[in-house]
Amino acid sequence: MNTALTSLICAMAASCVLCIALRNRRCIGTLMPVCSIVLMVLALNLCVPVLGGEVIDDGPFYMDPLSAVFMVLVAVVGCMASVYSRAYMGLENREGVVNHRELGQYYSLLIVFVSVMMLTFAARSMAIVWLGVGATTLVSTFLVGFYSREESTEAAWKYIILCSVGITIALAGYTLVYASTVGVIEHGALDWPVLMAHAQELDPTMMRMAMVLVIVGFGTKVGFVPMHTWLPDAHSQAPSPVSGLLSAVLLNCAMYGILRFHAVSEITVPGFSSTILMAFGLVSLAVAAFFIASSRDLKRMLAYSSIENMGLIALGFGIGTPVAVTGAVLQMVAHSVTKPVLFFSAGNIIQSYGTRDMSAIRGVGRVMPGTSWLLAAGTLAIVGAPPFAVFVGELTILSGMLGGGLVWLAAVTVVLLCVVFAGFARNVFPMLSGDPPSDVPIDGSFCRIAPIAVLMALSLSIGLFMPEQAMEWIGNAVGTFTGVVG
Amino acid sequence: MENAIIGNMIDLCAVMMLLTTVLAVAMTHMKPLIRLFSAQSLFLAVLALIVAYSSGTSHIYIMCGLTLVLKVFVMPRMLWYIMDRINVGREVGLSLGIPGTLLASGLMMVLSYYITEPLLATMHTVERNCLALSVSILLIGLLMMCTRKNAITETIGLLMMENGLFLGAVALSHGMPLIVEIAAFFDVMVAVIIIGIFAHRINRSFNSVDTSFLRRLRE
Repeated sequence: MNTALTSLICAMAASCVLCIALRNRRCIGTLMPVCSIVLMVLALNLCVPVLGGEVIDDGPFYMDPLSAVFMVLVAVVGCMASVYSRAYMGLENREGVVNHRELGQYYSLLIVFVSVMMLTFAARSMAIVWLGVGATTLVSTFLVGFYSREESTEAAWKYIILCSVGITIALAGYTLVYASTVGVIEHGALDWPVLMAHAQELDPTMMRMAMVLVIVGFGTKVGFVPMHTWLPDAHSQAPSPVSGLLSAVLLNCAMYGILRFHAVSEITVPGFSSTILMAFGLVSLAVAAFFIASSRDLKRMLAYSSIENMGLIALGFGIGTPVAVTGAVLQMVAHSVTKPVLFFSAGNIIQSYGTRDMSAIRGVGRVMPGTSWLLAAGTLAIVGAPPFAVFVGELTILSGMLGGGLVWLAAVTVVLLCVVFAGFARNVFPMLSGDPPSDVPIDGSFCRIAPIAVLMALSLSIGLFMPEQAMEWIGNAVGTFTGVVG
Repeated sequence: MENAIIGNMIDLCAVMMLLTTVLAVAMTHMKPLIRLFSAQSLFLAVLALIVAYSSGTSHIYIMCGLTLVLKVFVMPRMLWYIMDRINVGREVGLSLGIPGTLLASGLMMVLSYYITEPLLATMHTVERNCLALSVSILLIGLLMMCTRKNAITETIGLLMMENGLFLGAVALSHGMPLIVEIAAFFDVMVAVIIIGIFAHRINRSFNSVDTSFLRRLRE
């Protein structure tokens, strides 16, 4: 068995057991971030050769460049969220919002959450992917409803009910996919390399209906409009480090489930699931853009921005030309490193000002210059201003649209992106200037700024000087897709 | 001859599942609702047993056993337990009246025959009915989740959807791979536990499990 994979899985098991066992000790606040750094290093060690084109096919595990991209994102963002949690949750604990026991629960849930997401991407069988997506919902429900306030309970309730229904519908899709393989595939019918190899022979009618169910089912968790209603609530009520994780990597998990089946179905029935993806993508983009412009709550606005980005990514994958798919993968990477910057800096501001209402927050620039800079940079980055990573992603998707002859779609997308730009600018920049209220407490520890700065630097460096190597990796990930599709 | 009898029995079980679902939609009290869920699961277990016997697929026996233990006995008990711990009313809390919901259920059945029609060309009569019935149960379960305001009733709607799904899986492809079935059972089980925890919390915060109180998070 592959040693890198074995060591990662052992480390996951060890960190989960360790964090759960020591959850009531004082050291948990240090232990858990350290564990997540170890996991990140091991995951990078595993993923770098895979990104280079090596495929691991080993018993129940299967990894190709596409799953490696997803896993690297979980590892990096998960690590930064854990380090940031130290500052965020530490303050909540000192202020008495969260007691010692709850702090322990938080950290042990967080490490389990990150581990489950990573494992999801290493699975060979789509059944395990389904189970992984389901399990992430169950674990993160407790993180969403972590504060036992009425609003958080409501958000967690909506989250688990809607996502459970979504998962059930996706399973109905699985049933049909499996039914279409009867008589075609003898063994391991839901293993995705096997599905890909036999995609040509599957029953097209079954596959069509299955794709509708899978996209609607997993799409509930991706946050496609109109199944998105849980998303702004869950993101705004969860503690900020968790909001960052939900937005940056949890949505990707469900997207991964859709993409694997999308690749199969594009061989069986070309053009069917890509049309559905494009439709959901465009609707999500449009609805989210207008909600961003009219938001008053800082974290809800960021949540709608996640819906918008997921819509854009779905559009890219839906168009399906190599350029557009490259753009979609780039956009996904860019969104995953940029969005936590915003959620974490929003967390700093919300903890100091004690409100999420953007019209009540003024003068961040004077009180917290570091956070203010990062928030401003993050805002510019997420709306797609050059030279940040999202700019590259959006530009590539747009050129994919134009290359595919979808001029009208490109025009509509540009208009909607302008609405997003205007919405963000109108809402965020007034917060940074002006006179702060006199009694804003400031907590400027290392863990509060460092993870945000690291992610911001990543976003900037991807946008400014994308290394040849990284471009080749993304090309490999796209290859697993278009190698057969395009 | 024997095939015809088996086919009829499978059909009968599937129809009984649909019937219990429709009856569940018409219930105004919690206790009969939970009993109907038990009954529906029992019919699913019997159906699985018949399919396992007739097709000789051994892992469906496991699925039959799991359904019998978990869905006929354990989960209803769990729902009783949750109901006892929180002061859930005996009323199910409707947001759409019974006649309206029943009419909508009828429409769902027609719709499910309509949407499954393209799939039916290649199938035998028994499979045909089961697929359409399975989709109907899924849709009616979803309808139940949308039109009820009570946390426990919403959960039962979810569980009934799941049963409909398994009906489809068993009848259509003689069950999915065992791992998927076990995974699904496990997932539902944990989901019910967590839903129970949150129902308890909702009850503590709002002093009722009526989810129409959950309207604070609005734009």
